[in-house]
Amino acid sequence: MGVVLADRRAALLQGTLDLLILKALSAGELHGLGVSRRVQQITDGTFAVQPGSLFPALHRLEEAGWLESDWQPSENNRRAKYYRLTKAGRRQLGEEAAQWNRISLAIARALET
Amino acid sequence: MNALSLLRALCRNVVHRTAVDRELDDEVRAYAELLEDDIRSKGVSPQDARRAARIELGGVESVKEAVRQARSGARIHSWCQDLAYAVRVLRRSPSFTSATIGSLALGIGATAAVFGLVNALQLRALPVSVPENLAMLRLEGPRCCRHTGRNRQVSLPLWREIAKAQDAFAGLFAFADTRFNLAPQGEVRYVEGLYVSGDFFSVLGVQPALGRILTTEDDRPGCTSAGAVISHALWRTEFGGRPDVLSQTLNLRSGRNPIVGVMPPEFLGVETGRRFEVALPICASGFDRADHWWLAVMGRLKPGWTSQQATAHFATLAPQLLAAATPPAYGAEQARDFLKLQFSIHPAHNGVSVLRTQFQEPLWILFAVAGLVLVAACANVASLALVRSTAREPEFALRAALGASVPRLVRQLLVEGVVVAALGAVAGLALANLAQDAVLGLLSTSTDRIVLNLGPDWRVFAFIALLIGLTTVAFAIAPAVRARQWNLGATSGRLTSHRSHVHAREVLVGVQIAMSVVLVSAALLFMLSARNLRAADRGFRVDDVLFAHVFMSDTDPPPERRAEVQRQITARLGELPGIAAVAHASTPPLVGTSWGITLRVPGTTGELKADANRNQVSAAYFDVMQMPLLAGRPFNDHDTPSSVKVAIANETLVRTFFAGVSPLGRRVIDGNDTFEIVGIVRDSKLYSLREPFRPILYTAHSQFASPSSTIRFVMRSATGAAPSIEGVRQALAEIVPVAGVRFGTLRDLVNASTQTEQLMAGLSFCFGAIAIVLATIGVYGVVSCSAAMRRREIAIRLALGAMSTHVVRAVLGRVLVVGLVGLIAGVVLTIPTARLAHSIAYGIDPGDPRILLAVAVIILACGAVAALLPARRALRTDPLVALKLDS
Repeated sequence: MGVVLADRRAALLQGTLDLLILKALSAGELHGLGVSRRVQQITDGTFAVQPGSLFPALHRLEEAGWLESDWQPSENNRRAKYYRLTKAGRRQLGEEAAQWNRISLAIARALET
Repeated sequence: MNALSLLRALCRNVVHRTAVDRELDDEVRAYAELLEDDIRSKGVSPQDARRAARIELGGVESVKEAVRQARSGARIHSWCQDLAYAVRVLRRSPSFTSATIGSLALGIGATAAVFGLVNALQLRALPVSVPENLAMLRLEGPRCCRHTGRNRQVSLPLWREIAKAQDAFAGLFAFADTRFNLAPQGEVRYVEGLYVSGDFFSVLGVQPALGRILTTEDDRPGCTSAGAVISHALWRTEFGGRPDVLSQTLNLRSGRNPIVGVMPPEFLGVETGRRFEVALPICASGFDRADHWWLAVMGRLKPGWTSQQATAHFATLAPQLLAAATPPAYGAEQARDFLKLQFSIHPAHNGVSVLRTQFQEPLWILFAVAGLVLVAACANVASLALVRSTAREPEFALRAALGASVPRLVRQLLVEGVVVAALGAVAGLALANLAQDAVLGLLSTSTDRIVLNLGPDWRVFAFIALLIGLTTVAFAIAPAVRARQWNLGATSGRLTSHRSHVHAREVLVGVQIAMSVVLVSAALLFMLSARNLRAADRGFRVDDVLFAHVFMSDTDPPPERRAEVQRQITARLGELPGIAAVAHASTPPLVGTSWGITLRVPGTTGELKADANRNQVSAAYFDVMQMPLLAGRPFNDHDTPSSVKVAIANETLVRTFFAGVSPLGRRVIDGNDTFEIVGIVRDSKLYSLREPFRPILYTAHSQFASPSSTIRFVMRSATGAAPSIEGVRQALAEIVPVAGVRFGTLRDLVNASTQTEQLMAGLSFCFGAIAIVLATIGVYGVVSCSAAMRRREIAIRLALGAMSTHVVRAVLGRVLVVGLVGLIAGVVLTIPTARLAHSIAYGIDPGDPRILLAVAVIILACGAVAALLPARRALRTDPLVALKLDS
């Protein structure tokens, strides 16, 4: 289980979730729920990230040094933990995006023939 | 991925675990609040919003657990959790835990003790650099010239020839074990010693702790007051570890030797099981005769040389070496035999050892026996674990229902197993230490101390780890097999699971009984062997016989006075109160010396020639030893140097050389002496109690003019009188104040001669007893368990008027079958294994059916007691109480 397709409950690769989270945070810092909503938004609602997958992924990425976090007041004045990309995270996003493009291109080609 | 950042995270997770967890709590709670706000902002009522948020979030705890699992260090944390839980669980049931640990301590202790001895004696390499290329040289061939003593092989001239000519060894040295007498006069004070060739220490690569090692410079022919190297232990005990030891002189009975060096503490010599305290160069011994076979030869093979190649190399050299070292005193025939000798080279990375040869087989047998004890202990532990897993089934079912995976639960069991096994191993190692000390104590005699390096090395640690692994599996396997049934549904029908557990336990009891049969058979076999050996016909009297060996120096008293001194001592000892008879002999029994001769018997059809032993005795010898004369006359005062030389033959000699026909009046020849046989004496043991009787030719001491400097007296104390060693000591101190003296009783020597058998008997008795105890506990446990389970049924049957014998049969039926199957399996297992013990069995056939019968009786008796006690308790059950309790 990683990311769940909103309509069909199919499991996707773990790397996909990491890539989506990094992408979601590339525009600026977000708290956990923000990341979840942003992913939903940028995939036009195709992916819904469950908390049971989101939190482990956020913590894993933070431990890998790609994210950093701190506690800040949220827009409606609650305290929340905000995540943002580190320099290493931004580099990682670039690499993973490039790799994803290569793979999807290859698969698309394979399916065309 | 950033390794540094991961490491930092790991540290944080492990060290600040509570802070990290608290932050995670906050984070998830904040998420829930934000989510609730978010949903409410879409116009949903607060209550519905909260509910929707809960649903979207899923289980808070499972989210947190998922994060914990994803964190680095999660494994460490969960292992720690398992460990802490295991300790808590084990502490909660102390009786189970102590029974398990106790069983394992016995099993592991027995196995580890024997393995430690095997390791120290067989496997451990000498503590020198690069022990792998050490090899030793042996002489093989006709018996003409080999000595059977400790490692002695080569004469000094032959050693010199070998060292000169050989090309296989990069370095070669010769040595001889000996004893040095540290007391310049009076009662002897022996320390183990070595005569070594100059290269001994340098080839072994031993660095001195103090001073220097001996070199080829020290080993010059004709050296006087040669330098001595002493052991670290002697330095500490005799010289208080003082650094000025190098300016001191060692005051030996044989002379004064300046101390030139002290060895490091770990170097005990090249003989496993013994240590040396003093080493002198070979030249200091003064032995240089060509027919004196007293040196052992060892060395380091050149790189690339194997012992086979070296043996081949020596095969080509042998004729030349032997020709150059043939003793001039040898006649043509003896020289021919001598030249037939062959050299062989054997790997010696673990040194040389007489002890090893003596105990190799007994030790491996004991190792196998200890392994069986371990199997029995594991069966016991598995059985206990099974019982407990029944009790814990609801707990496991509950944990499974709460989301624990089966592998995780099995892991928990394994962790508990490791904890129990490790505790058992610690207790077992303590037992093993005690046992090893006891064994070495048993084997050592006052003059022959055995020193083994029993300190653990990697082999011991690996072995213990293996044992822990095995016992952990034994502990966890039975409950783990049933892991699939860990669900709340199954535990409600608990009666059936009980039943299958009982079956598994019955199998384990069968295994224990089979092991017990093997172990008790071994115990009986070895105990009977030891008893037979002690009771064996020795041919001489053991009780009330003292011996006193007197070692005079070469000059004091002067050789021409020795005969006079000898007469004086004999007369004086004879006057002592409590001493009934005094005699002396060149080789009294069991002292470890023998005088091998090649006896020739001229006959009508030619000369018969064969090996025999000679013992030169005083006339009273047969009286002191109470060896009855069967025919002819004893030695008497008329047997003088000028009269015809006479001899007395023992029965075996008569059988061997005269085909049982009376040899009285016949002539026999030993070397240059011809003897007329005047008497026949009963057979008696000479070198050890185990060996068959040897042909012995007794000759009269009174007919040979010059006695040697060593006189071995034997005395029989008057029956009932206490042996008066003190009186003997005083008498000797007055007559020969400067001579060395060694005292003892023949009983001590007999005991020392049976020590292997005593050891085997003692240890196998312990092992057998442990096995029986474990099997009895096993039977008791399984019967009382099944009786408790069937209490209701028994109560109903009794209430309906069943005969108590029927009820007992119902309770015992299966156990009886299991016991019989175990018994038969044990017997089947015993018959081939008993054959292994052939070399140790004495006076009893290892496959003797009477042993098996006795074992069956013993085990059935123990089993019956263990089974009947709980069965009787079941019978006494009040039906009403039983039925009420279970409903």
